[in-house]
Amino acid sequence: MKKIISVFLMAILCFTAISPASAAFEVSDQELQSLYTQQARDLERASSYFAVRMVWASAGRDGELEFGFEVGCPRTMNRLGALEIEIMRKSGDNWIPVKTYKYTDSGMDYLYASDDATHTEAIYFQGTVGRDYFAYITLKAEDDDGSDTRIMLTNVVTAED
Amino acid sequence: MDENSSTRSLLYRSLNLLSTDELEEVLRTNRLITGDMASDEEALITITDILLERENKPAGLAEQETEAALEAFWRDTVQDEENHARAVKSARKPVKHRWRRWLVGVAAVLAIGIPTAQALDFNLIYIVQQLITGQFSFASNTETADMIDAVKLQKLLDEENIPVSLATLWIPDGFAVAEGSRKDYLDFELFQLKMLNDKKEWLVIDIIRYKSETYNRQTETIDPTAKPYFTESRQFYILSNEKNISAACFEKNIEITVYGDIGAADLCKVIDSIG
Repeated sequence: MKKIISVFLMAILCFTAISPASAAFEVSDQELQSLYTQQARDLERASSYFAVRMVWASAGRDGELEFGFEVGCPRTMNRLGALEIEIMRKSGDNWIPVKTYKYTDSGMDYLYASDDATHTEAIYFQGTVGRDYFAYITLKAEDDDGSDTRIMLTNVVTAED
Repeated sequence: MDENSSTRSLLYRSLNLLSTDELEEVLRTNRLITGDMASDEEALITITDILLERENKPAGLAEQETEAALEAFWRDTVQDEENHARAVKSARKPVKHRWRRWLVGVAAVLAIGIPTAQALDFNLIYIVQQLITGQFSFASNTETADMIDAVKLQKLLDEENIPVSLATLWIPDGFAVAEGSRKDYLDFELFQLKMLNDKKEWLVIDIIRYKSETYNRQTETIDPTAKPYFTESRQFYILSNEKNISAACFEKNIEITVYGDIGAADLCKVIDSIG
């Protein structure tokens, strides 16, 4: 079963024209490593839409965590940015979803910009000191000719005091 | 007098303070004054009018008119009586010719640039300094390049001792500076300069300074087959596919990425020009 889930996750990362559906379900450490390997391969290939794709996770003080992204396109896009940011926390040998931010949520529309070519933003999350986190960030750029969607995994970060 | 007429009058009087040589220099170098396209266009038209007016006058007379204009500028613009008296006295001092020209230039740029600078909450003195000393000049065929955002960004880079020079930035034909920005995050700062052309195509320079040399992020990796490109001081890698081209350079905790809808030759000229 785990193998099937892992293959399914890899398939999500491979396909560029996926729906912005949530990627949130429990994954194991081993599956996460496979996803990072797949992501590294994907990042070697340039996208026809994105000239720059970057996601990150950083730790501040008192458990504060920053999850962010930068996307850059060579042409003006009708919309670009992040559709959602899904935060995962380590629990035993697995990673479980703890919080999802969507651009359609109240006050979160800044995640998905209009009529621009670059967009850089971050959200801040109160983590539990000593626990590990990462996030799935669903990036998308769309113009009159079509769109490109990529789910990217941030690095793993530990909430610090 | 309505606001537009008043602005035009101030513009005319301010530019009339400059010598014929200085006005011709502004036209020749395409060094724009206010950073606002509409204002600059009006300024350039006004300069042309002034030069045409002066063409039929003897050189000595034109010089006298410049001095008279300087006095009139201080008299009419400086409202405070004490400052007025001091300014006129100062203007009448037998100063060296080059110093007087410098003063006239500063006065003109201040008079024209203050409204724009106030709107942008920007340190105009820095722009004036850069203009007067000639340290900031785009190599560009673009007639509407807005330099204020680039100068502002350069100031931020200078303050942070980040060794990137936008002062000699080469801008491809048709592009103009659209926006300069700085964003601070927990582990890095992003300095970004964006240029845009009429076709809504962009040229972007990203300069990221990480707070340590060990940083975490997931981003495009350099393909082992990517072509290295050496500028005078840096090694970039050129990455491209059928639609996108970009250049990336990593030096300790500084990362520079240049990308846009331009050709490889122009991309190399851009990265060559930023030091």
